[in-house]
Amino acid sequence: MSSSSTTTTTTRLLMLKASDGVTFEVEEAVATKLGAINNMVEEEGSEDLICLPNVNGKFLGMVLEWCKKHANNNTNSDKGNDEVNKWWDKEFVMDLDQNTLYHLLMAADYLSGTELVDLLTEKVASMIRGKKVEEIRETFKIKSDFLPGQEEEIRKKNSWAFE
Amino acid sequence: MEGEMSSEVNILDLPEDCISHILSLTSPGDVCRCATVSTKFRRAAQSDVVWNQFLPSCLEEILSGSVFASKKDLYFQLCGSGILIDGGNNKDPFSQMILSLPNYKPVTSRFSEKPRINDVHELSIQAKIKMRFLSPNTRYVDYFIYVPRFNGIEYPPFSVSVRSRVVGEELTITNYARLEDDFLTRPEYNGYHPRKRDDGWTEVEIGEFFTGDLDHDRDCEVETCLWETGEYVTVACGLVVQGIELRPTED
Repeated sequence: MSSSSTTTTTTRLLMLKASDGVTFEVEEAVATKLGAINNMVEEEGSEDLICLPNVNGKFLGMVLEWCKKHANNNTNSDKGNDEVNKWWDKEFVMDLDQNTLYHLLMAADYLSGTELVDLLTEKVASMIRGKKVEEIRETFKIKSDFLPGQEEEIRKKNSWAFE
Repeated sequence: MEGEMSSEVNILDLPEDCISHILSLTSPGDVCRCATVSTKFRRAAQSDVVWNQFLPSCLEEILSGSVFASKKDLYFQLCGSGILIDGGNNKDPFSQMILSLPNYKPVTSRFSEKPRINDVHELSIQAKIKMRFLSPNTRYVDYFIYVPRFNGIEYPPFSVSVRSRVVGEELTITNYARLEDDFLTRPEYNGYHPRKRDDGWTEVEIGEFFTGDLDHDRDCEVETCLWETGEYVTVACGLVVQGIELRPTED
Protein backbone atom coordinates (compact mmCIF):
# COMPACT_ATOMS: atom_id res chain seq x y z
CA MET A 1 0.00 0.00 0.00
CA SER A 2 2.79 2.39 0.85
CA SER A 3 4.33 1.90 -2.57
CA SER A 4 1.14 3.00 -4.33
CA SER A 5 1.09 6.26 -2.42
CA THR A 6 4.62 7.04 -3.57
CA THR A 7 3.72 6.40 -7.22
CA THR A 8 0.71 8.75 -7.09
CA THR A 9 2.94 11.60 -6.00
CA THR A 10 4.99 11.24 -9.18
CA THR A 11 2.01 10.74 -11.48
CA ARG A 12 0.48 13.81 -13.05
CA LEU A 13 -3.29 14.02 -13.00
CA LEU A 14 -5.35 15.37 -15.90
CA MET A 15 -8.89 16.67 -15.73
CA LEU A 16 -11.11 15.60 -18.65
CA LYS A 17 -14.41 17.38 -19.17
CA ALA A 18 -17.15 15.67 -21.19
CA SER A 19 -19.84 17.33 -23.35
CA ASP A 20 -22.37 17.20 -20.50
CA GLY A 21 -19.98 18.85 -18.05
CA VAL A 22 -19.05 15.66 -16.20
CA THR A 23 -15.36 15.71 -15.26
CA PHE A 24 -12.92 12.89 -14.75
CA GLU A 25 -9.63 13.02 -12.92
CA VAL A 26 -7.27 10.61 -14.63
CA GLU A 27 -3.60 9.73 -14.40
CA GLU A 28 -1.68 11.03 -17.38
CA ALA A 29 -0.37 7.54 -18.18
CA VAL A 30 -3.96 6.31 -18.47
CA ALA A 31 -5.38 9.20 -20.51
CA THR A 32 -2.47 9.24 -22.96
CA LYS A 33 -3.45 5.76 -24.15
CA LEU A 34 -5.82 7.86 -26.24
CA GLY A 35 -3.89 9.34 -29.16
CA ALA A 36 -5.89 12.59 -29.21
CA ILE A 37 -5.17 13.31 -25.53
CA ASN A 38 -1.56 12.32 -25.91
CA ASN A 39 -1.24 14.91 -28.70
CA MET A 40 -2.93 17.61 -26.62
CA VAL A 41 -0.63 16.91 -23.67
CA GLU A 42 2.45 17.00 -25.86
CA GLU A 43 1.44 20.10 -27.79
CA GLU A 44 -0.22 22.18 -25.12
CA GLY A 45 2.08 21.10 -22.34
CA SER A 46 0.93 22.31 -18.97
CA GLU A 47 -2.83 22.40 -19.63
CA ASP A 48 -4.43 20.23 -16.96
CA LEU A 49 -8.08 20.63 -17.96
CA ILE A 50 -9.01 19.09 -21.29
CA CYS A 51 -12.48 19.71 -22.74
CA LEU A 52 -13.96 17.02 -24.94
CA PRO A 53 -17.15 18.53 -26.38
CA ASN A 54 -17.87 15.56 -28.64
CA VAL A 55 -18.01 12.87 -25.97
CA ASN A 56 -20.78 12.33 -23.46
CA GLY A 57 -19.76 11.66 -19.84
CA LYS A 58 -21.28 8.20 -19.72
CA PHE A 59 -19.19 6.96 -22.64
CA LEU A 60 -16.07 8.91 -21.74
CA GLY A 61 -16.23 7.12 -18.39
CA MET A 62 -16.36 3.75 -20.12
CA VAL A 63 -13.51 4.63 -22.47
CA LEU A 64 -11.38 5.71 -19.51
CA GLU A 65 -12.27 2.53 -17.62
CA TRP A 66 -10.89 0.56 -20.56
CA CYS A 67 -7.74 2.73 -20.70
CA LYS A 68 -7.17 2.29 -16.98
CA LYS A 69 -7.41 -1.50 -17.17
CA HIS A 70 -4.97 -1.62 -20.06
CA ALA A 71 -2.55 0.87 -18.54
CA ASN A 72 -2.51 -1.09 -15.26
CA ASN A 73 -2.07 -4.43 -16.96
CA ASN A 74 0.73 -3.08 -19.09
CA THR A 75 2.78 -1.73 -16.18
CA ASN A 76 3.50 -5.26 -14.99
CA SER A 77 5.77 -6.43 -17.73
CA ASP A 78 4.49 -9.94 -17.38
CA LYS A 79 3.92 -12.10 -20.44
CA GLY A 80 0.60 -13.30 -19.06
CA ASN A 81 -0.74 -9.77 -19.36
CA ASP A 82 -1.65 -10.17 -23.00
CA GLU A 83 -3.92 -12.99 -21.91
CA VAL A 84 -5.35 -10.86 -19.10
CA ASN A 85 -6.03 -7.99 -21.49
CA LYS A 86 -7.69 -10.31 -23.99
CA TRP A 87 -9.88 -11.85 -21.34
CA TRP A 88 -10.79 -8.46 -19.97
CA ASP A 89 -11.52 -7.08 -23.48
CA LYS A 90 -13.84 -10.00 -24.10
CA GLU A 91 -15.74 -9.23 -20.93
CA PHE A 92 -15.81 -5.55 -21.80
CA VAL A 93 -17.59 -6.00 -25.15
CA MET A 94 -19.61 -9.11 -24.33
CA ASP A 95 -22.81 -7.55 -23.06
CA LEU A 96 -22.69 -4.17 -24.75
CA ASP A 97 -25.99 -3.19 -26.34
CA GLN A 98 -25.71 -1.78 -29.85
CA ASN A 99 -26.44 1.81 -28.80
CA THR A 100 -23.58 1.78 -26.27
CA LEU A 101 -21.32 -0.04 -28.72
CA TYR A 102 -21.70 2.66 -31.40
CA HIS A 103 -21.41 5.53 -28.93
CA LEU A 104 -18.20 3.99 -27.58
CA LEU A 105 -16.89 3.39 -31.08
CA MET A 106 -17.49 7.01 -32.06
CA ALA A 107 -15.89 8.21 -28.83
CA ALA A 108 -12.87 5.94 -29.26
CA ASP A 109 -12.54 7.02 -32.89
CA TYR A 110 -12.72 10.72 -31.94
CA LEU A 111 -10.15 10.21 -29.17
CA SER A 112 -7.87 8.13 -31.45
CA GLY A 113 -7.95 5.16 -29.11
CA THR A 114 -6.71 2.80 -31.81
CA GLU A 115 -6.70 -0.39 -29.76
CA LEU A 116 -10.19 0.27 -28.44
CA VAL A 117 -11.44 1.05 -31.96
CA ASP A 118 -10.01 -2.30 -33.09
CA LEU A 119 -11.75 -4.10 -30.26
CA LEU A 120 -15.12 -2.47 -30.96
CA THR A 121 -15.02 -2.77 -34.76
CA GLU A 122 -14.12 -6.45 -34.36
CA LYS A 123 -17.21 -6.85 -32.17
CA VAL A 124 -19.43 -5.29 -34.86
CA ALA A 125 -17.73 -7.35 -37.62
CA SER A 126 -18.48 -10.54 -35.65
CA MET A 127 -22.16 -9.59 -35.80
CA ILE A 128 -21.98 -9.44 -39.62
CA ARG A 129 -19.87 -12.48 -40.55
CA GLY A 130 -21.61 -15.32 -42.35
CA LYS A 131 -25.06 -13.70 -42.19
CA LYS A 132 -27.57 -13.40 -44.99
CA VAL A 133 -28.72 -9.93 -46.07
CA GLU A 134 -32.06 -10.25 -44.25
CA GLU A 135 -30.29 -11.41 -41.09
CA ILE A 136 -27.94 -8.40 -41.22
CA ARG A 137 -30.92 -6.05 -41.61
CA GLU A 138 -32.64 -7.72 -38.69
CA THR A 139 -29.52 -7.65 -36.47
CA PHE A 140 -28.91 -3.95 -37.05
CA LYS A 141 -32.56 -2.89 -37.54
CA ILE A 142 -31.85 -1.47 -40.99
CA LYS A 143 -34.50 -0.88 -43.63
CA SER A 144 -33.48 -1.06 -47.28
CA ASP A 145 -33.39 2.41 -48.85
CA PHE A 146 -32.65 1.26 -52.38
CA LEU A 147 -34.82 2.23 -55.30
CA PRO A 148 -37.01 -0.59 -56.65
CA GLY A 149 -34.89 -3.01 -58.68
CA GLN A 150 -31.59 -1.47 -57.56
CA GLU A 151 -30.90 -4.08 -54.88
CA GLU A 152 -31.62 -6.90 -57.31
CA GLU A 153 -29.16 -5.38 -59.77
CA ILE A 154 -26.35 -5.23 -57.18
CA ARG A 155 -27.07 -8.80 -56.11
CA LYS A 156 -26.78 -10.01 -59.67
CA LYS A 157 -23.29 -8.57 -60.03
CA ASN A 158 -21.97 -10.78 -57.24
CA SER A 159 -24.48 -13.58 -57.29
CA TRP A 160 -21.87 -16.02 -55.91
CA ALA A 161 -22.06 -14.27 -52.52
CA PHE A 162 -25.78 -15.05 -52.24
CA GLU A 163 -25.71 -18.78 -53.01
CA MET B 1 -22.12 16.42 -32.47
CA GLU B 2 -23.44 14.84 -29.37
CA GLY B 3 -26.01 16.69 -27.34
CA GLU B 4 -26.36 16.88 -23.61
CA MET B 5 -28.41 13.71 -23.75
CA SER B 6 -26.85 10.62 -25.18
CA SER B 7 -29.26 9.97 -28.02
CA GLU B 8 -30.09 6.49 -29.30
CA VAL B 9 -27.83 5.58 -32.23
CA ASN B 10 -27.92 2.92 -34.92
CA ILE B 11 -25.06 1.40 -36.93
CA LEU B 12 -26.00 3.77 -39.78
CA ASP B 13 -25.10 6.73 -37.54
CA LEU B 14 -21.44 5.66 -37.63
CA PRO B 15 -19.22 7.57 -40.05
CA GLU B 16 -18.92 5.85 -43.42
CA ASP B 17 -15.18 5.18 -43.00
CA CYS B 18 -15.93 3.54 -39.68
CA ILE B 19 -18.36 1.16 -41.40
CA SER B 20 -15.68 0.50 -44.04
CA HIS B 21 -13.25 -0.37 -41.25
CA ILE B 22 -15.78 -2.85 -39.83
CA LEU B 23 -16.40 -4.41 -43.26
CA SER B 24 -12.65 -4.80 -43.81
CA LEU B 25 -12.66 -7.24 -40.87
CA THR B 26 -15.19 -9.55 -42.55
CA SER B 27 -14.79 -11.42 -45.86
CA PRO B 28 -15.32 -10.59 -49.56
CA GLY B 29 -18.61 -12.54 -49.45
CA ASP B 30 -19.80 -10.66 -46.37
CA VAL B 31 -18.91 -7.35 -48.00
CA CYS B 32 -20.84 -8.21 -51.18
CA ARG B 33 -23.89 -9.11 -49.08
CA CYS B 34 -23.54 -5.94 -47.00
CA ALA B 35 -23.47 -3.89 -50.20
CA THR B 36 -27.14 -4.82 -50.70
CA VAL B 37 -28.23 -3.99 -47.14
CA SER B 38 -28.58 -0.21 -47.60
CA THR B 39 -27.12 2.64 -49.66
CA LYS B 40 -24.77 3.70 -46.86
CA PHE B 41 -23.47 0.13 -46.51
CA ARG B 42 -23.07 0.02 -50.26
CA ARG B 43 -20.91 3.15 -50.29
CA ALA B 44 -18.84 1.87 -47.37
CA ALA B 45 -18.41 -1.48 -49.17
CA GLN B 46 -16.79 0.25 -52.18
CA SER B 47 -13.91 1.66 -50.16
CA ASP B 48 -10.27 0.80 -50.88
CA VAL B 49 -9.86 0.40 -47.10
CA VAL B 50 -12.09 -2.67 -47.34
CA TRP B 51 -10.64 -4.36 -50.41
CA ASN B 52 -7.04 -3.66 -49.50
CA GLN B 53 -7.50 -6.08 -46.61
CA PHE B 54 -8.37 -8.90 -49.01
CA LEU B 55 -5.33 -8.38 -51.25
CA PRO B 56 -1.92 -9.97 -50.69
CA SER B 57 0.53 -7.70 -48.87
CA CYS B 58 3.27 -8.24 -51.46
CA LEU B 59 1.04 -6.80 -54.18
CA GLU B 60 2.64 -3.36 -54.38
CA GLU B 61 5.96 -4.97 -55.15
CA ILE B 62 4.55 -7.23 -57.84
CA LEU B 63 2.20 -4.81 -59.54
CA SER B 64 4.49 -1.81 -59.71
CA GLY B 65 3.25 0.46 -62.47
CA SER B 66 -0.15 -1.13 -62.95
CA VAL B 67 -3.13 1.16 -62.45
CA PHE B 68 -6.59 0.12 -61.28
CA ALA B 69 -9.74 2.17 -60.74
CA SER B 70 -10.14 0.78 -57.24
CA LYS B 71 -8.88 -1.99 -54.98
CA LYS B 72 -12.23 -3.66 -55.52
CA ASP B 73 -11.62 -3.81 -59.29
CA LEU B 74 -8.17 -5.14 -58.62
CA TYR B 75 -9.52 -7.81 -56.28
CA PHE B 76 -12.10 -9.07 -58.75
CA GLN B 77 -9.68 -9.02 -61.64
CA LEU B 78 -7.29 -11.12 -59.57
CA CYS B 79 -10.08 -13.59 -58.77
CA GLY B 80 -11.15 -13.73 -62.38
CA SER B 81 -8.80 -13.76 -65.29
CA GLY B 82 -5.76 -12.57 -63.36
CA ILE B 83 -3.39 -9.72 -64.10
CA LEU B 84 -0.42 -9.72 -66.43
CA ILE B 85 2.44 -8.58 -64.26
CA ASP B 86 4.61 -5.75 -65.57
CA GLY B 87 1.60 -4.53 -67.53
CA GLY B 88 2.77 -6.56 -70.51
CA ASN B 89 5.63 -4.17 -71.27
CA ASN B 90 8.38 -6.50 -70.22
CA LYS B 91 10.49 -7.63 -73.17
CA ASP B 92 11.34 -11.02 -71.74
CA PRO B 93 8.29 -13.25 -72.14
CA PHE B 94 9.51 -15.73 -69.55
CA SER B 95 9.60 -13.14 -66.80
CA GLN B 96 5.92 -12.42 -67.16
CA MET B 97 3.23 -14.11 -65.24
CA ILE B 98 -0.37 -13.77 -64.40
CA LEU B 99 -1.07 -13.22 -60.74
CA SER B 100 -4.31 -14.42 -59.28
CA LEU B 101 -5.63 -14.67 -55.77
CA PRO B 102 -5.64 -17.64 -53.39
CA ASN B 103 -8.80 -19.77 -53.22
CA TYR B 104 -10.15 -18.99 -56.60
CA LYS B 105 -6.73 -18.03 -57.51
CA PRO B 106 -4.77 -19.54 -60.34
CA VAL B 107 -1.32 -18.25 -61.22
CA THR B 108 -0.34 -18.26 -64.86
CA SER B 109 2.88 -17.68 -66.65
CA ARG B 110 2.01 -16.45 -70.07
CA PHE B 111 3.93 -15.35 -73.12
CA SER B 112 3.23 -11.82 -74.28
CA GLU B 113 2.92 -13.00 -77.86
CA LYS B 114 1.83 -16.56 -78.32
CA PRO B 115 4.93 -18.06 -79.90
CA ARG B 116 4.26 -20.40 -82.77
CA ILE B 117 7.07 -22.85 -82.57
CA ASN B 118 8.64 -23.60 -85.92
CA ASP B 119 11.71 -25.68 -86.63
CA VAL B 120 12.46 -26.35 -83.02
CA HIS B 121 14.19 -29.66 -82.63
CA GLU B 122 14.59 -29.71 -78.91
CA LEU B 123 11.54 -28.25 -77.27
CA SER B 124 12.34 -27.25 -73.71
CA ILE B 125 10.36 -24.85 -71.54
CA GLN B 126 11.24 -23.95 -68.00
CA ALA B 127 9.40 -21.51 -65.76
CA LYS B 128 10.10 -20.46 -62.19
CA ILE B 129 8.00 -18.61 -59.67
CA LYS B 130 8.80 -17.49 -56.15
CA MET B 131 6.68 -19.34 -53.60
CA ARG B 132 5.81 -16.19 -51.68
CA PHE B 133 3.60 -15.12 -54.58
CA LEU B 134 1.48 -18.23 -53.97
CA SER B 135 -0.95 -19.11 -51.18
CA PRO B 136 0.50 -20.93 -48.17
CA ASN B 137 -0.42 -24.53 -47.33
CA THR B 138 -1.99 -25.06 -50.72
CA ARG B 139 -1.57 -27.87 -53.22
CA TYR B 140 -1.07 -26.50 -56.72
CA VAL B 141 -1.23 -28.34 -60.03
CA ASP B 142 0.78 -26.98 -62.97
CA TYR B 143 -0.70 -27.05 -66.45
CA PHE B 144 0.86 -26.40 -69.82
CA ILE B 145 -1.56 -24.42 -72.02
CA TYR B 146 -1.24 -24.63 -75.78
CA VAL B 147 -2.96 -25.43 -79.06
CA PRO B 148 -2.05 -28.81 -80.51
CA ARG B 149 -1.00 -29.10 -84.11
CA PHE B 150 -3.02 -31.36 -86.35
CA ASN B 151 -4.69 -33.90 -84.09
CA GLY B 152 -1.81 -36.30 -84.46
CA ILE B 153 -2.50 -37.16 -88.06
CA GLU B 154 0.48 -35.62 -89.81
CA TYR B 155 2.84 -36.08 -86.92
CA PRO B 156 3.65 -38.92 -84.61
CA PRO B 157 2.23 -38.50 -81.07
CA PHE B 158 4.03 -35.62 -79.45
CA SER B 159 5.25 -36.69 -76.01
CA VAL B 160 7.21 -34.63 -73.55
CA SER B 161 8.72 -35.17 -70.14
CA VAL B 162 7.20 -32.96 -67.47
CA ARG B 163 8.28 -32.11 -63.97
CA SER B 164 7.19 -29.73 -61.25
CA ARG B 165 9.36 -29.32 -58.21
CA VAL B 166 10.20 -27.02 -55.34
CA VAL B 167 13.77 -25.90 -56.08
CA GLY B 168 16.18 -27.57 -53.67
CA GLU B 169 13.86 -30.42 -52.75
CA GLU B 170 15.44 -33.82 -53.24
CA LEU B 171 12.50 -35.90 -54.26
CA THR B 172 11.19 -35.00 -57.68
CA ILE B 173 9.10 -37.04 -60.02
CA THR B 174 9.38 -36.78 -63.76
CA ASN B 175 6.31 -37.80 -65.67
CA TYR B 176 5.29 -38.05 -69.29
CA ALA B 177 2.66 -36.02 -71.00
CA ARG B 178 1.21 -36.35 -74.42
CA LEU B 179 0.53 -33.03 -76.09
CA GLU B 180 -1.45 -34.62 -78.89
CA ASP B 181 -3.64 -37.52 -78.10
CA ASP B 182 -3.60 -40.57 -80.22
CA PHE B 183 -6.68 -42.64 -79.57
CA LEU B 184 -4.96 -45.83 -80.62
CA THR B 185 -2.26 -45.73 -77.99
CA ARG B 186 -4.29 -44.11 -75.25
CA PRO B 187 -5.24 -47.26 -73.27
CA GLU B 188 -1.66 -48.36 -72.58
CA TYR B 189 -0.21 -44.94 -72.01
CA ASN B 190 0.59 -44.08 -68.38
CA GLY B 191 1.40 -40.38 -68.67
CA TYR B 192 -0.84 -37.32 -68.58
CA HIS B 193 -3.38 -36.76 -71.29
CA PRO B 194 -4.36 -33.43 -72.79
CA ARG B 195 -7.77 -31.93 -72.21
CA LYS B 196 -9.50 -29.48 -74.50
CA ARG B 197 -10.72 -26.43 -72.59
CA ASP B 198 -13.86 -24.39 -73.15
CA ASP B 199 -11.76 -21.37 -74.12
CA GLY B 200 -10.25 -23.15 -77.13
CA TRP B 201 -6.87 -23.87 -75.57
CA THR B 202 -5.71 -27.34 -74.66
CA GLU B 203 -4.09 -28.12 -71.34
CA VAL B 204 -2.03 -30.96 -69.99
CA GLU B 205 -0.92 -31.55 -66.43
CA ILE B 206 2.76 -31.14 -65.63
CA GLY B 207 2.86 -32.03 -61.97
CA GLU B 208 1.91 -30.80 -58.55
CA PHE B 209 3.47 -29.42 -55.41
CA PHE B 210 2.53 -28.25 -51.93
CA THR B 211 3.52 -24.78 -50.72
CA GLY B 212 3.56 -25.46 -46.94
CA ASP B 213 4.04 -22.68 -44.37
CA LEU B 214 5.65 -20.11 -46.59
CA ASP B 215 8.77 -18.97 -44.82
CA HIS B 216 9.65 -15.51 -46.04
CA ASP B 217 13.29 -15.83 -44.99
CA ARG B 218 13.71 -18.90 -47.11
CA ASP B 219 12.59 -17.58 -50.47
CA CYS B 220 11.82 -20.83 -52.28
CA GLU B 221 11.08 -21.15 -55.95
CA VAL B 222 8.94 -23.62 -57.82
CA GLU B 223 10.25 -24.82 -61.13
CA THR B 224 8.05 -26.14 -63.88
CA CYS B 225 9.74 -27.92 -66.78
CA LEU B 226 8.69 -29.53 -69.98
CA TRP B 227 11.09 -31.04 -72.50
CA GLU B 228 11.14 -33.47 -75.37
CA THR B 229 11.54 -37.12 -74.51
CA GLY B 230 12.90 -38.37 -77.75
CA GLU B 231 10.35 -41.18 -77.82
CA TYR B 232 9.97 -40.37 -81.47
CA VAL B 233 11.99 -38.02 -83.59
CA THR B 234 9.63 -35.11 -83.54
CA VAL B 235 9.70 -31.56 -84.66
CA ALA B 236 7.68 -29.23 -82.48
CA CYS B 237 6.52 -27.45 -85.58
CA GLY B 238 3.23 -25.57 -85.40
CA LEU B 239 2.69 -25.80 -81.65
CA VAL B 240 1.14 -22.61 -80.28
CA VAL B 241 2.03 -22.06 -76.65
CA GLN B 242 0.02 -19.89 -74.28
CA GLY B 243 1.97 -20.54 -71.11
CA ILE B 244 1.84 -22.30 -67.77
CA GLU B 245 -0.89 -22.12 -65.19
CA LEU B 246 -0.63 -23.01 -61.52
CA ARG B 247 -4.03 -23.80 -60.10
CA PRO B 248 -4.77 -24.67 -56.48
CA THR B 249 -6.61 -27.93 -55.92
CA GLU B 250 -9.31 -28.59 -53.35
CA ASP B 251 -7.56 -31.26 -51.30
